[in-house]
Amino acid sequence: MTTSLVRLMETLERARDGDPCTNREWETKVIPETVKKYLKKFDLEQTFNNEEPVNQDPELADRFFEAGLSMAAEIGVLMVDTESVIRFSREEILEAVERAPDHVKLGRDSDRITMRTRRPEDKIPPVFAGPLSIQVSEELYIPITEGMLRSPHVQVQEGPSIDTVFGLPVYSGTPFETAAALRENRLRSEAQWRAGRCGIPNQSIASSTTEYGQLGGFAGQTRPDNPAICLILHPAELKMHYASFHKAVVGMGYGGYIYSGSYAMIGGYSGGAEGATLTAIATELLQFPLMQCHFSAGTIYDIRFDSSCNRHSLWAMSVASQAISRNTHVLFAKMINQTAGPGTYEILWNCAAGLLCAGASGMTYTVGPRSAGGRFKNYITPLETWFCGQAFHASAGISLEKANEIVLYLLSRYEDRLKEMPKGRSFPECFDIRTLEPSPEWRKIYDDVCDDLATRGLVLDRK
Amino acid sequence: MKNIFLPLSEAIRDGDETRGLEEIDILLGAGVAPVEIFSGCVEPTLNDVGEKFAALIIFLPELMLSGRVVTKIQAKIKPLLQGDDTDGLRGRKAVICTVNGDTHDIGKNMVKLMMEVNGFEMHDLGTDVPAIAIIKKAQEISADLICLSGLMVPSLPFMRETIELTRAKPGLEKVKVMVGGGPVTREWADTNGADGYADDAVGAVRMAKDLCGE
Ligand code: B12
Repeated sequence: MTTSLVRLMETLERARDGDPCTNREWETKVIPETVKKYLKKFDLEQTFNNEEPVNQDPELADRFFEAGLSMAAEIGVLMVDTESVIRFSREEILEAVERAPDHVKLGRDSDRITMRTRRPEDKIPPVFAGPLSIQVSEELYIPITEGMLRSPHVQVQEGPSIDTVFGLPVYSGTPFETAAALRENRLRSEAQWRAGRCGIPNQSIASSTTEYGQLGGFAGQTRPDNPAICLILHPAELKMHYASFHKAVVGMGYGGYIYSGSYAMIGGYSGGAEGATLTAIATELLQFPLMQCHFSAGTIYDIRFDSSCNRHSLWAMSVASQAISRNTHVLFAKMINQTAGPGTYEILWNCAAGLLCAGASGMTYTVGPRSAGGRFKNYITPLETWFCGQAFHASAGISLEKANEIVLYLLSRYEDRLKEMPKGRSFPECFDIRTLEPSPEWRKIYDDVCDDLATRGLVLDRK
Repeated sequence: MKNIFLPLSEAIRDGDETRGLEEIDILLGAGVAPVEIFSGCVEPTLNDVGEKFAALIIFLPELMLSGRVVTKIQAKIKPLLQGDDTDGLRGRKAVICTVNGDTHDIGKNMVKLMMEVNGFEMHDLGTDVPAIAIIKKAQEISADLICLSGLMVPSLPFMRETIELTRAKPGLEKVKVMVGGGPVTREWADTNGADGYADDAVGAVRMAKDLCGE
């Protein structure tokens, strides 16, 4: 599929002409009322099932899909800079979904992979990118990254991001950020070269907090024989802003892959788990006409726990993923938001629950981990990144029933302490910076969890 | 809750401003003291609304609408509270925003809402706000507090810059600066000259009251 800048300009024009609506009205009236209407119309209220964080009811997922599609065609997306609504008809949405690819080839040489459409319980393995844009010191960027790329289960590279550029703070939205993007590209190449992963596909300028880094750095990251993935995150579910269009322009203009979406928050504008599921599906579908994306994202997040590894989020992620994967051929992702930090059992339980739930439910792609909630500098290590890739890949071919059984077990290990997940230890505290090997304690935790999972039916390839 | 307060409580829960203000007129007409309206109705209703939010019975939009009704009620009642001023009702003014380069706003909105319903007059500058705009607003409204939210590590230098600028500006000597959001910790707040830190919206209100000497 080729994207078209002309079509993107037409969408932008639609934003300028759209019906007016204020941000406040959108958040407090339009989203909640539309969500309620469609939940009621399709008989989806109170469908959250405590015992099935991995959904076992395909008919429910299909009903959510129909509801999400109908809602998407009514509500559209609010453009926050112009306070106007961009709408697409049902036909336009379906046509764009139809046009979207069912597979894409990424990377080159020995790092070449194909991301393919999946269905629930699919044997085709999903694709894993690591890690998220978590801040690390400039001098630790190369060792951390080289370490992560040592595992073949890390197939695409996004993060980490740097918090200084030549020793100075990266003030976002200023030339410091633009320079950080160029610096990150250099550091990336060096780390990839050291790890023997020069052909790995790249995703986004991770140090780009606003559009500046992406605008300045994308051209230097993408290559004709290895197009980079342009990540575009909108300000909230069913919202858009000029910054997203800025990124899309460079992404398309330089021949990259477009990957766009946003979060749907449990407890937020769409309501509870059912509302967030519906909004995530609508958000996902709207990415195709809006951004002409190659793959979309509608991540679920629970604002009460700052996590997507709690029961409500897992259920919503499972239903939304099954809805999309059973009813379309599109490629899509959702992020798993761990809150525990490196060097703890809890982070591995968080990761395994989220990734198994996602993989068994038909998800194609994800990026992670978000160690310690992504909140603290240098709190990310290669080991939990490898573990994520291994667990996501091991989820291929697992039945929904088995996945549910394992996820319920994992929940029993951490669920009651979700608000007090341990921060864990930073990279220098639990890794040998020279050999890039985990400390014996961290390795033991990893082995314990892998052994435990293996006895329960999830066997990780510990590479 | 006394029966007489039930209609007002319902109006707050429903986010119905018009009915809320009508109910206030009725209660005042019946001779109920303004302070009692707060302690007997508004506060318990808000506590209940907060618990329902935590239990996923209601959500952010409902919370925002209820907050708005309470703010309107406060504006109406404040002039009537000469002698019997109550905790949190002294019309303290605060500027709140997410700092430069950062557009994360959910946490900031929750803090704003909780402070608003606790009697603070909140001036929300939105997201991605430069230090100078924050300072100007604080000077313009003679703010008691500046509340800065930042979710990313690159937001921290901007926060520090805002704190430094606040300290340097004449007329803002008494303004207290409160900080919060993902990468901000108590330690960061202490070492960078902030007056207060909290890791959630309830803590933010407690801290704001402390800083305002209540
Ligand atoms: C949702 C989200 C988004 C949404 C934002 C939606 C919105 N409208 O806010 C979107 C998708 C747009 C987004 C974009 C980006 N994000 Co973001 N995002 C998050 C996420 C997952 C959750 C944040 C959230 O809303 N939490 C829920 C609220 C309720 O919690 P809270 O904000 O912490 O607020 C509470 C307290 O902190 C406190 N508090 C908050 N403010 C204040 C203020 C005061 C004064 C006080 C006292 C207390 C207080 O009270 C609140 C209520 O309890 C976090 C992960 C995380 N762990 O935080 C990442 C995160 C913050 N994002 C991150 C990044 C990198 C980005 C992007 C750069 C991604 C990209 N490459 O494009 C962009 C940047 C956009 C920008 N310029 O700001 C990183 C930051 C890394 C770092 N440490 O620097 C995080 C940590 C994720 C990660 N990589 O691991 N993001």
